[in-house]
Amino acid sequence: MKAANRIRLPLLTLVCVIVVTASDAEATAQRTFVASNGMDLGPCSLAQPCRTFGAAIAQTNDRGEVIVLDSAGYGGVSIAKSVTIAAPGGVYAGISVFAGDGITIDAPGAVVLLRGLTINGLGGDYGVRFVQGAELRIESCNVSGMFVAAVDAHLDGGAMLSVRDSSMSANSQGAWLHGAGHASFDRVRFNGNSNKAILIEGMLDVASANIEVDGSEAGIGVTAGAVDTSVTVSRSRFAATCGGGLSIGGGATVISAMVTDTEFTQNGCSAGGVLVSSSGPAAARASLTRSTFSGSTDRTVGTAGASAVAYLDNLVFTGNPSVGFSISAAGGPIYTRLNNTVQGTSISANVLPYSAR
Amino acid sequence: MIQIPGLVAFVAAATAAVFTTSATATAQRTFVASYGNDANPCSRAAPCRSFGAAIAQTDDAGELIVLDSAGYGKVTISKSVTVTAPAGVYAGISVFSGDDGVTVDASLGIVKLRGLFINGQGGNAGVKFVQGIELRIERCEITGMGAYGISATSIGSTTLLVQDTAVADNLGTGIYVNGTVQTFLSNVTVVGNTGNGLEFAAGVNFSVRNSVVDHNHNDGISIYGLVNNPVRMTIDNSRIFGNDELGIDMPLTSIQGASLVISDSEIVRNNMSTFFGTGGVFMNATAGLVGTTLIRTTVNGNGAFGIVADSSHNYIILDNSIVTENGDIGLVVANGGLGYTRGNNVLHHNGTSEESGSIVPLAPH
Repeated sequence: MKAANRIRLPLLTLVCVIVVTASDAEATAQRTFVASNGMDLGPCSLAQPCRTFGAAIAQTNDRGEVIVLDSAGYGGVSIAKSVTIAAPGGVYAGISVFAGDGITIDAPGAVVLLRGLTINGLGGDYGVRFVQGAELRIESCNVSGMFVAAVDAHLDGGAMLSVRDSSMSANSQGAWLHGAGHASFDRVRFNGNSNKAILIEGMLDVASANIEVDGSEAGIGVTAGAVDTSVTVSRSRFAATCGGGLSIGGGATVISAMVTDTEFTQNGCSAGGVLVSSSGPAAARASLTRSTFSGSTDRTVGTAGASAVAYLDNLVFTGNPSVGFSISAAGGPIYTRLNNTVQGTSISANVLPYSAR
Repeated sequence: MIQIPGLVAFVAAATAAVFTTSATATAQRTFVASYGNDANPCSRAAPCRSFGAAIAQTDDAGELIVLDSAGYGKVTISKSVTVTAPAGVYAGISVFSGDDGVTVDASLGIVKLRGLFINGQGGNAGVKFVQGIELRIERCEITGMGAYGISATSIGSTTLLVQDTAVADNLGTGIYVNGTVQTFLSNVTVVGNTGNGLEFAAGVNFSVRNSVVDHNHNDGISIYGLVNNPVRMTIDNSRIFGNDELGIDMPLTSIQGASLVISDSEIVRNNMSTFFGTGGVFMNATAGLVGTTLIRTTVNGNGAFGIVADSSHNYIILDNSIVTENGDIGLVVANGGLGYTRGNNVLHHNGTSEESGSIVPLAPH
């Protein structure tokens, strides 16, 4: 009996330690885990993963990580700290959004990375809503079916959004950007959104490369806000939109857009390729270089309003039948380098040469 | 006579058996898993729990494979080895104060790191390349480090390759390379680091392709040093965007000359606070001839000057490129610098004037 007691004591002690640690609600870890067989009452450790993102975030250190162990739905979550949520390739981590937001980020200075998530709207308004914070990176995520926008970002005070290797499809808006901040998109696909792929309202600067837009109402829409706006588009495609690839609506502040190495094809019903308009005193400019415009049934490049101008350099226009002019300088002048290839495309007056250097 | 080969085979098998059960034996392929134990041989059937234990059991030029998602701890590598977390497996390293994530210190080593998540919790460098023949970093995510995402200071003939990797939100420099480390970056995202995005010290030969250097809080790319060797640098199909200070700051001097060729790229909206006089590209060498050639490249909307050659040891060649909407002068050649244009460039809406200094046409051949 005495020998047996001696053996039991260490085991009993060990069990007590584990129980105490697991029930400690205050402790957080640098890395937590969620799994399909997890339990939200646990510590979200590798041995005892949680079942939902919400429970895991609460147990994660500032600048820590939440890791998805296997494929399942993990529920919406509100984030108020710097954190990474990552599902490795090959693991499906879903969030169904029935109402409101899928993921809300709302903390001053927060730096958040979302990686490998699939967010699907079933009546919900926003896939990811960035209310405030320093930076949001979205990698390898799919956001679809959202009633208002896949990603809604209030990038005030120089905050930054970076999206790469992701898709936003069948939403109302794809990415909706507000505030005096920065955004970049690389290798992002926007398919069949009923409104804009990217709607920019008063941003400092937005750059996108290798983005593909098709079947949406329009590609990129820019409206003047409190600060001047710069938009850079390179190596991208805008296809089969109604409102055109790039639509600039200037007024109170300067909007400038640079487009290089981009394809605009089969757009049109209200605008075809690039439409630059300005209702106010500030300039709206588009500089277009090394790009192609084909098969558009409305203006491929147009200006509207006196301070709206466009620059054409090394472009190809082919097969763009239009009501009115296809290259239409109805507002400010359209300047041409005289190095463009134009076929099947009508040209208005006020298209003027300019010199290269 | 016939039985002798069989006997030899038997003896060889027995010898192999002895080796695999010996504590000092290593294998050509080892494994780690969340359910592993470092007292194990790190075999497929009995995996280890940490990278450190598994590396010790791995042959030179062998492989270390991650079987399932977990954290596997910091590690120092002093031999040739490939560490692979296959797609679908998260392999994390949390790096705490005073530590580095992966230290590669293998004088004759060829080391490959694939699929790792290295996250700083007060630590110094995510990956520290002290010495080796080659370090290849693929599909990794390196974040939150206190000093460097990647630091490569290896001397001698050394190669660093970084591919399909993000180096982001580190509290210091994204990727720091010093010395004779031939550096190749492809599809690398260098974003939101509080120091320079890329920092090439002491005349590093490098090639950057399909990469983005966005919104770092010092320079996008900082290139400096005073060296004797010729320095060859290329940037292709990449974007240098919205960094707080210069897009490319290049106070590099090479006695034997240095050239940076930037093609099909964008240098946009850097230095919007105009902390210095230049926003896009700045050069001021003190000897030799150091030049930047821009081909099909956009220099747009930077906070101050677009491109500057600020010494008689610097030149700029502009070909089929766009220099627009920079806050001050677009193209500046000063203090005896040389500027060449092919006559096919677009310059408009630069703040003060489109160009200044000695800029001459460069005829095609």
